[in-house]
Amino acid sequence: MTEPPNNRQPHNPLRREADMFRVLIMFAAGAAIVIAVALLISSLAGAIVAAILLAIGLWRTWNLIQDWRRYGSDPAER
Amino acid sequence: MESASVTVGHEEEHHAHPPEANQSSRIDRQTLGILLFIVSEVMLFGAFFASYFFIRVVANDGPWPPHPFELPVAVAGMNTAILVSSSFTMHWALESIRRGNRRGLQMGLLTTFLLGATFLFIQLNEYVHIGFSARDDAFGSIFYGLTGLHGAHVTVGLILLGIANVRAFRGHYGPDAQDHLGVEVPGIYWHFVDVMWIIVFTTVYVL
Repeated sequence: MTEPPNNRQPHNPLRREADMFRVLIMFAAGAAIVIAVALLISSLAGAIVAAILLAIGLWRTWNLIQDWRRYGSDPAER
Repeated sequence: MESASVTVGHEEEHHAHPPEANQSSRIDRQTLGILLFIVSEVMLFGAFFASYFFIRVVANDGPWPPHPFELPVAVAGMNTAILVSSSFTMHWALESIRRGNRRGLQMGLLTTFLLGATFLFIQLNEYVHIGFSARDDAFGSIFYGLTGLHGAHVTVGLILLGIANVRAFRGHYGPDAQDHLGVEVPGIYWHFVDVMWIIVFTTVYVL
């Protein structure tokens, strides 16, 4: 295992309640943006924003999985 | 002679109590269990969302929701706010017990339970007054399927919260991580249920 560039190893975002709560806040914020766009512009525009946010989420998840494979998980989680 | 006594000693030890179970995972059993459960739940909801999008995008040829269906968006929005608030009170409960504040834990858990029960009550009330059933068209089926699936999860969450409430009021749980796992695990599940509702609400009621 190599050292991560910023000395911060990947952290399981679903491991603890506080982490899951952060995930919830992220989803709530994303949904608020989608709902605002859908109500102000149109459902289609809202769906496009939702698709973009989903793509960003999948991309970040993919990076997290790659970092896990490269650097291992946070020692605090072991 | 010495080795014989050591062997006897080991045997006595085994007779006294069973050996500690081998834990191959770096994550404790309860948390691993709830994580695997959540992963399977994501797949279950995924199957329902796949049906929803098939009905909406492929099989539907016109406005959505199809005429004459109408959804009570304002009531559902208020219900969403109630459910999201319950996640905040859940987080408050856990932060309280981490700091050794038992009263905060009890109040947080009780408020979370009441908010969850209110959500479920409003959802059932919506079913009574919505004006269509699961047998009315594919839209009715998928609407009741998705919201009902979520409602079932809220019910399970309420049962878990009920148990956590009883234990909290009986003086269980403590500030150490291992001593409040019985709140931590339902907390993870409760936030997951809320995340799923945010997705259901945004997809079914708003978009």
